[in-house]
Amino acid sequence: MGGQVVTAVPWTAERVAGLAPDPASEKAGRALAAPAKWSGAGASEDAVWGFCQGSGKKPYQTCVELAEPAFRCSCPSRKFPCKHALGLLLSWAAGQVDTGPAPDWVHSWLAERADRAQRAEKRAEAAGPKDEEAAARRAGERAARVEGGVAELKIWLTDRVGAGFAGFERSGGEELRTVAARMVDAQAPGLAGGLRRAAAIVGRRDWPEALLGELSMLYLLGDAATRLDSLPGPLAETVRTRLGFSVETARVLESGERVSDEWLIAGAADEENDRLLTRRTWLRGRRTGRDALVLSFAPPGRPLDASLPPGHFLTAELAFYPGAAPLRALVAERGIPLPAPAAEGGSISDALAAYSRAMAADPWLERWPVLLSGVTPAEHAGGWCLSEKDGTALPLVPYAFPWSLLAMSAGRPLTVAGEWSQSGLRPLMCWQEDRAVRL
Amino acid sequence: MKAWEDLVGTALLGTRRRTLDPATQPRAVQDLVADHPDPAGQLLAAAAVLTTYRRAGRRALTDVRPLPVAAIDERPFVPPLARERLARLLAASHPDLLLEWLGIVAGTDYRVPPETLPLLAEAARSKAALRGPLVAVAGPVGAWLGQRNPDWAFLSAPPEESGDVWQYGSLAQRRRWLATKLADDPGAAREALRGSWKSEPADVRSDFLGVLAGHVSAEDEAFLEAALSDRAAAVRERAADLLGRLPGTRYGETMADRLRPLVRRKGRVLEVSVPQGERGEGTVRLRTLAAAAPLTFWTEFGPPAEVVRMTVEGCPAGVLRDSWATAALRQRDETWAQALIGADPGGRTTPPLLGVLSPGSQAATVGHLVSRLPVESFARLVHELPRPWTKELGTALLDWIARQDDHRLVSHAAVVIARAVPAACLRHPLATTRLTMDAGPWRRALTETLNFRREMYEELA
Repeated sequence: MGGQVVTAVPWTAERVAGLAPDPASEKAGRALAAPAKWSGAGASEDAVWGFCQGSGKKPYQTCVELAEPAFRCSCPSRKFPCKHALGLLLSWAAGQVDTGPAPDWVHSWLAERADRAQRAEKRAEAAGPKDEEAAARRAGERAARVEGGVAELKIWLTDRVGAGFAGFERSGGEELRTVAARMVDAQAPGLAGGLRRAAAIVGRRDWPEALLGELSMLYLLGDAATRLDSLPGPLAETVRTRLGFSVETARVLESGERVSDEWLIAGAADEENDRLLTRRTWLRGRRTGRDALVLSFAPPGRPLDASLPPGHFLTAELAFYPGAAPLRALVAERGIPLPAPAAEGGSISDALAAYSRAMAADPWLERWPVLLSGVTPAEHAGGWCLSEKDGTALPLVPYAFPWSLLAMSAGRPLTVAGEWSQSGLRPLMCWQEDRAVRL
Repeated sequence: MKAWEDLVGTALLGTRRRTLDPATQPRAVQDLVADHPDPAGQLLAAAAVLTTYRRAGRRALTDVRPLPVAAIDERPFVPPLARERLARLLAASHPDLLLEWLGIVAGTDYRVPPETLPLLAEAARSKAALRGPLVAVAGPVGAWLGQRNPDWAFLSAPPEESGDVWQYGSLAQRRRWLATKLADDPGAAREALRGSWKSEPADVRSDFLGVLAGHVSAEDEAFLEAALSDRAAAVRERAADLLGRLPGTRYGETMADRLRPLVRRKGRVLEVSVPQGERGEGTVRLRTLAAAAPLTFWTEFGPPAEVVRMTVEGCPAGVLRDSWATAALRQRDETWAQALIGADPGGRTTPPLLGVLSPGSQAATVGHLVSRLPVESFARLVHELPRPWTKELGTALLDWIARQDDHRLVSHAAVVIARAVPAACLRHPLATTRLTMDAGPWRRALTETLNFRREMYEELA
């Protein structure tokens, strides 16, 4: 090892734990994070590797390529990453893995990966331009189906409102889900999602007004969908996105608005919907003050994008998706995430004002990132809220587990990053003095 | 907001039954919805505008009152590796190792990062033994959390010096108060105990005698004698147990006097007559007498090692042996304990009697038992050895298990040994020698637990 310069900073344990596909894997991984479990473990700038004795005769061969990250393990687990990869990384994060030159089997795997990536690139080049005619035909067909769906939804909505919501409590949920299924058939998942949200409202306390709110916004969306051509370009893009048309990654990278900055990775929220895991990672540019949302999807048991660890800074160039209030973005060029011990947030009134401006541009906006400094958890009307010194406060979402936040504060102000929505603030991350903690 | 309520009311009834009165809507909304052909469309368009208004124009709460601020905790956080270990302990739910870890931290000047407190408090909610060390480790932030969350009230128990605890505290608080007071101011503690004795429920009386057990002294004789006629059997038994621990009591002498006419030695035979109980409970009575009489009574018939090996006639030998064991435990008589273990090493009284021995002779006796007992019996005995173990005992047991082959009972004993040997044993060769690849899973687990525990101590040193 003599004289080797160590440049790869081991990740924090929190960052490794964030990779776990489920809590059971995290637990199993922690149990394997002990030097006694590993033999021949080592780390280089690019990778961490080692042998772990399992129940069989032959120890498992585990290797993690750090950049992406990518995992390989000879164990039969179908989880990604498996507990061995997690255990190895946790051990490495705890400083228990020495730096050294990679053995041959690690080298050959890394080489194989690089080779495969190169071949894929070549194939993509060789494939040449796509069949544009067929693509245009498919797009036209889809547009027609969505148009049909929109027309059907508008008729159903006006009919419903004509008949009145009374009696809706009994069968309304079912009816809404049926219409949602028809919108799925019409390839308008955005409309289907809105109808399913409306179905969940029925029967709740104060449901008539919440339902009217939800359905009227769907009506507005349907109405806008029929006038796409006359809308300003960015708003038309927003309407298309809300309807459920996706924008190709390549197009975003090619023509999306580019913003370079040092981005604070302010928080991440994971959610499971229809057998699909979604991770929303919120970024805020230190110089530009721009907010950005990076989405990552995976089926349960598969890894979500873990390259954006909350509580870190990332020097990167983002490419924004088009829209009237552009928020969603892709990371186009990136550096290495570095821990961000402190974060600078704003006031509640600034956050609400920014939210109003965004709503004015995109009235279908569901969540808005907030980063508040000098707020203290407090009680209000039987629930919890985050309060500024003068008693101005935002309520937390009723389902938030407030105790980690409360323990971090102990009555003192802190900086909190979270998602603001109609149901309240969902805290994701907090900073107290020089400590960043994921909530 | 009248305009919005009007929209909701109309939507409930339906636009076919009730027309929306445009006049109730703001001017801007009226203009916007005017070009919608039908009343339902007008209502939906107006609702969309007002919904956006309402959502975008949401105001912050005002006049929220702040919470009190916790006292500042100046202690440093546990070092990074110990923090990592805490995460592992919480994830793996090993309450006994977590208890040990918290105990170590409680003995240092470290605190845990506050975000771990909610999980720790939840663990202590279901396992009360964690509460004491957690309160120390969690410090003022813990107390502050305990005031916010009723489930964690144990984190902010009132200061126990105050006399009120004895009158108004919970049973656990009163126990702690009594234990502290018995050590600091025994006179006041006894006075408090006697003062409220008659009004305490039976289980509480028995409980308090258990607290007194650690501090019992000659001054308690009269009090305990009175308790011998308590209404509750559990209290009577505890009182007899405590009296038996006091040397030279009148009670002990009385028991010996009653026993004397019942026992005779004839050569190698001990003849014992069963006393005539009032309700025919002869052997029960005999047990009580023999367990309560000072062991010096039996030396009238020979040295302990000889007496315990004599043939017993007139009563079941087991009754006598049990009573001697009880007496040896109460009187903490090492000679008798040694004699009884020697006479019946595999007996069920052997583990508690080992607890009476001094550390050195305890380890030696265990070493001796290993050679006299079959592996299975010894492995079972390990589970019942009174704790905490001394370094000598822990080393003797580790030496033993290091020599064992794979066996179900050995592997069970290994779990106990791994967890119960004191910190001073954690550098035993068993933990520091590299395992061969074919080592059984129990041996692997044993080494891992010993190493895990040693690292716990090292990280917090």
